[in-house]
Amino acid sequence: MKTKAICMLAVCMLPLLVTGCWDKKELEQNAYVIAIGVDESDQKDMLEVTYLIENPQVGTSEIAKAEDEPASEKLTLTVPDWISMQDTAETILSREISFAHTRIIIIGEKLARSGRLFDFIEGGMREPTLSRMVNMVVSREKASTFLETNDPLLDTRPHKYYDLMTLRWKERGMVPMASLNRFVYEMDGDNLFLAVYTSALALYGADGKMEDQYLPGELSHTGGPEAQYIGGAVFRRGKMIGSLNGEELRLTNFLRRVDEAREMLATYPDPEDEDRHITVRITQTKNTKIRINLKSDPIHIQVTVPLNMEILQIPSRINYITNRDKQEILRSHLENSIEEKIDKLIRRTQEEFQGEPFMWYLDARRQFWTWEDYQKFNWHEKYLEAKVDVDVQIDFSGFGKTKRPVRSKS
Amino acid sequence: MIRMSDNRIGLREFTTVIFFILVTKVADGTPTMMFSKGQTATWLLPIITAVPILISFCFLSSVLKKFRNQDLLSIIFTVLGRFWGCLLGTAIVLFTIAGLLVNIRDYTQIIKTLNYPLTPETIISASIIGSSSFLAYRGVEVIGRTSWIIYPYMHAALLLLIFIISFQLVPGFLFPLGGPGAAELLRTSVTTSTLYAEVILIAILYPSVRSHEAFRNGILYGVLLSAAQISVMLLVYLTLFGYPVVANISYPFQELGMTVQIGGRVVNSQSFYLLFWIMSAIVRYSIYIYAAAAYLRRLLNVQETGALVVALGGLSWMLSSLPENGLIALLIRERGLIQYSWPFFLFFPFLLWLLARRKEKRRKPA
Repeated sequence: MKTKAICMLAVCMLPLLVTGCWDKKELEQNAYVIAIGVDESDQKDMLEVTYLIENPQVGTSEIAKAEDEPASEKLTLTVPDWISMQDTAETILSREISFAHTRIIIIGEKLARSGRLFDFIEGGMREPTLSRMVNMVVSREKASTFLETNDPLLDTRPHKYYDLMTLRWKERGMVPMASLNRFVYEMDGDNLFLAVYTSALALYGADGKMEDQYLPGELSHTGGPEAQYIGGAVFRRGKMIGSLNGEELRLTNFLRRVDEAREMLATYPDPEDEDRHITVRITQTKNTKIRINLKSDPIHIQVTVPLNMEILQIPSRINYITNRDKQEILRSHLENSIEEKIDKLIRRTQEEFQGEPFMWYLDARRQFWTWEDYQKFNWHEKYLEAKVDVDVQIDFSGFGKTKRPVRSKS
Repeated sequence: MIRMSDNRIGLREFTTVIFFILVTKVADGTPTMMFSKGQTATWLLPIITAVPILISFCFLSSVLKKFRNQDLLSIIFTVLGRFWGCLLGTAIVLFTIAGLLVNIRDYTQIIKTLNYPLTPETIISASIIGSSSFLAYRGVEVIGRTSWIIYPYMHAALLLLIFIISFQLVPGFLFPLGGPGAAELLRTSVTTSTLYAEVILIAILYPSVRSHEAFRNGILYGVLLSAAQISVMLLVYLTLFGYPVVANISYPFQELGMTVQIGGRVVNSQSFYLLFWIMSAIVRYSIYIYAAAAYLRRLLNVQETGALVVALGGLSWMLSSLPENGLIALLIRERGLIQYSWPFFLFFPFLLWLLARRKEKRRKPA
């Protein structure tokens, strides 16, 4: 009887343990920072930091729903760093700041180019609730302006917007996949790091280019959210030194061993009719082959890029489909024009950026036995002089639903 | 079949106990320490290191077989005599307790840093030590049964983690395959053999395992299983973060948990893995405390293990809060315990075997 009573008492006490005492947190008492914007400040050793905070009470279950509250809130402060800002921010906000659901870090281009970026990022690597795999984005304007301007109407809850956006990035290959971890990694190895490049201000006006030759902000559009994500910000030793446009980014993706993009639409000039273009869907079913000869001087890199193309539109109405000769002309024309663009890109990385963004160092490493040997080889220096041969091999995988253009020109 | 409780454990319980003691190390500071030495070849270390320790264990096993039903300390007393036995026994007890202390301190620090920043450290270590002492108090059979019950869930959760993360790995980070070079790798594998030091220390529990075969095979399977598991986890860390960055991440396991995403919905799974990790940590420390108590009982000639367990629990709770922070505890472990204690674990069983053999030969002609 006595033991029974003690047992019952013990069971009754158990729920007390569930509260977790010191570190108890309630969902609606937290301010989940989804995006962190970091900018240079006019004051010395200070940052201008913007938090994009999601309201967990919007779009959740019916009971917890708060009808009249907006889905997110923005807060900008000038602080010494974006970790200590938490407390400063809580002098304004009623909720406790949490980085547990941070999806993205947006860096103003001015700060990125100043070369002091890593000093500020460092705290983020120590912050226990922030994942190292959070995405890194560089905005052409100030990050605070970017966050203030961009206002997607369909995905009002920012975490969903950034989740879906990341998925689009991955599939279309217009921007690189860039994590905080990769940033530190490339900085260590002296290779180029590419961050997502974006702008929410359509100020830089350069309309009328082919579909992927834009930098962010060059596309003037009506309707839709303001932010444009296209191209990459190029970092060397933790400092932004230039940018690549969407097309160059796609070529970079081709040149990496494993292409992350699933399928992409692209246009190329028509070989038989200079004024027109043809539209293709590109998929990569086989991985890019990279062969590196480290013994020769300068080192010799051979890259084979196998591409599958599906022809979607031929405005010139030339029959590239049933006419085999024409098809060969088209094939070699496409191969040559892509190879030319790639050559130009590689020269640019060797001369302008002085580094290698294609992760070919991973293939070079295969030929070394020890880490020390690889370090001694000095891949970074050797790449600048390297001779690179690129071979693009196109397979036509299909021609859409129609067989040949109507009233085709021979 | 219902068997009477005899306060002994069988092969499967013993194997899983060994597994938990060893495999929990992938989730603390050990991998970081290994990566700074093994570089891109670190994932080979657990496998290479298992060889010398298993050879060393062979000698120990043959000695144990000779002195049936005696624990390690009694054998040491018989072979080395009272004085040297006492000295060595004290050294082993101190080593076990020191290992327990710095490990608990390390775990407390991890939990505090990553999960409960506001909770006082003394409370965290008290709850870990309290639970493990409770298990240890109930005896080896309860520890064995607990570990056998939780083992399948634990391993399934770990395999699930590896499967999900496998899509994000970059195989190219494996190269150069040789890491610091073969010679350096072999040297490191000998000096890091303390990774499996518990295999030797646990011989104090020899009489608590049902048969000699169960003890021998339990160690063998346990070491092989955990060597494979640790190696796979190190591979995952390496190909996810890449060397040299990985050598700078204090808690790769927890960082891994933060990276894992199941679809777009399930993120931050480190909280889920915290549960499994704490459970295996508690099993690990309970066996530590139990073994330390068993050594002490022999050394001091006390009959009561329970009281010793309680005393040890309280002592380690107080002492473990002494180092200023967990990294200092880690340094103590790295610099002191691991770097200089490996010759003991590699050569002591051999010496014991040699001395036991000589003693036997001397006795026979008489």
